[in-house]
Amino acid sequence: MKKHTFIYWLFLLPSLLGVALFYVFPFLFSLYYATVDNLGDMRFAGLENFADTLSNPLFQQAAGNTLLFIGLCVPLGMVLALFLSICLQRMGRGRVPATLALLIPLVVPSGSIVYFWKVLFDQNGLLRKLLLQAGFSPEIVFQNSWAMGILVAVFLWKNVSYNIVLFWSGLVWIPKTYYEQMALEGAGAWRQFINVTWVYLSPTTFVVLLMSIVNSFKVFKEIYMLYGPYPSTDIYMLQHYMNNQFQSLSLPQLCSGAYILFLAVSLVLLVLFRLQKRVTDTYQ
Amino acid sequence: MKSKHIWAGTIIWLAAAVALFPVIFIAANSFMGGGEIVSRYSPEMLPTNAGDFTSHNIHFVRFGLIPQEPTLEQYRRLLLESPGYLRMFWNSVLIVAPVLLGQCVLAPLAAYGLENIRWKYKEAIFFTYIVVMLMPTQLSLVPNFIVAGWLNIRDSYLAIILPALFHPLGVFLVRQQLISFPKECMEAAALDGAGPFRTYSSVVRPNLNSVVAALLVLLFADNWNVIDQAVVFIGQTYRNPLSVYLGNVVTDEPGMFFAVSVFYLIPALLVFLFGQEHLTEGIALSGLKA
Repeated sequence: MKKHTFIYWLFLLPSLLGVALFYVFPFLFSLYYATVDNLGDMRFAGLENFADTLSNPLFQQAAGNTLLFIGLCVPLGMVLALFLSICLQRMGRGRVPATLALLIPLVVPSGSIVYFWKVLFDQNGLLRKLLLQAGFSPEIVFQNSWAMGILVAVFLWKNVSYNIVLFWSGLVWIPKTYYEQMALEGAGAWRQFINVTWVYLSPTTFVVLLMSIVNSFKVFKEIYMLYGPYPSTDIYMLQHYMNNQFQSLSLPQLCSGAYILFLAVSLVLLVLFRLQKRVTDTYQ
Repeated sequence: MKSKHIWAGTIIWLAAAVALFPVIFIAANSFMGGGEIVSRYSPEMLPTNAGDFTSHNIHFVRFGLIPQEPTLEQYRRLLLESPGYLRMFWNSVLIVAPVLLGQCVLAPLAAYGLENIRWKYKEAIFFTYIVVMLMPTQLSLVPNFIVAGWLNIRDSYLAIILPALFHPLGVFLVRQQLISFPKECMEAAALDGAGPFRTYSSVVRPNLNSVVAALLVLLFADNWNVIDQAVVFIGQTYRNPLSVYLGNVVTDEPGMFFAVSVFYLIPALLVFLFGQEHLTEGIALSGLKA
């Protein structure tokens, strides 16, 4: 058995080379681009590009919008998914067709339903008409600051079912007897949720939190479909900032931005991994 | 107890209706004629003066699901008069097919190799794969972009296909499954004289069919909806996958948008209907458990 072990490297090699060539190596190399100056003579510029990027108002705006979006859609998406997955567990017949319907948004191409969102959310769209008929004043109905809210709604529509599946796969592992025990002791639905569901679901909750943050960056697709490559400043995200750097072919700007984003994302993931590990060790 | 079921069921069916409604809207409207679509949904006649913002002065959309005169005009125009859309649909196929093929060969091979090599830093390899997997698209696009420059394949589908083909999600999913694969089976095969290749092809790989199917469904959903990468790499409009161009159809040719959308939606729905169980399995596996 032991003498064969080098052969297994052959199995891994194609993938390893691919990941190294297309992701790891050029990313490490891009640190070089991030530290040379922007004028084309490739003079070492230290952290100049990083300082430039961080002080760029456009970058700050994009970072702020991205944080706001994550801060809105991650908690909302998690609460909604947890609620729906518990309902899914409690419902009687028809679970299979209902799940099928719930999962459909995951596979629908973002562009295929862009007209629906326009008809619903445009200035003369259905939602504003209904709001006016319901008696809201035109000043509120037609103000422009709804863009972020619209984006959150569109994103939740598409991505909540991913979280539902994750929560669901955690819920089915909780033994029924725990609930029965609680019920015998006279605990109501809320107490059962706090003392059984919430406790035993907490490792899953961290998984969902982590994946929600990772997935929240996918909102670029929806923004691009709804508003094109240059959306208004209140929904201008880090993804747009990065995209504009691609178009302007400014490698130092692009790469320093990438490293800042990489450090931020890594830091968040690291903290979450640590927390998840601690919670998992406590309950399992 | 009974009423609890009914409550939960009602909420789930409401949510299911919300999930389905946009798709139903698009499908129903695809049987409207171009004239009806323009008269229903065109954004004209918004008052420019804020003082006019009372509901009777605004031409609101006339939202509807049932066409006044059902017609196949949109589909006729799409299939017979608009080679551009068919071509962009084909572009999408050209991007997705090699990615799926490559992943379903490479990912199980690599996961099997990784599971069996003995090296003290082997977990570091796996950790690197996870980090790459979790990075936002715009971030991993930076190394993709740099390599594409080195290889001189910017503005070619290869710039999208190759990184997607080596994306670590596949290896990660298969390995999650392989961890629970009984080691005794592999050892028994080795005792019977099977080498690593025989063990892989006759013992391991046949047991990975379901996770590979899960991977294919996930990858299809993701790559059929490719937007970010195409925006960066593909310049000319007609070479774009249809997933990107749908955003232009909505403004350029609203009278055809619904049929084009349904047309692009159908492969995604078919893959979903055939692979729905695999999709849920794939999502459950993709959740990172430390």
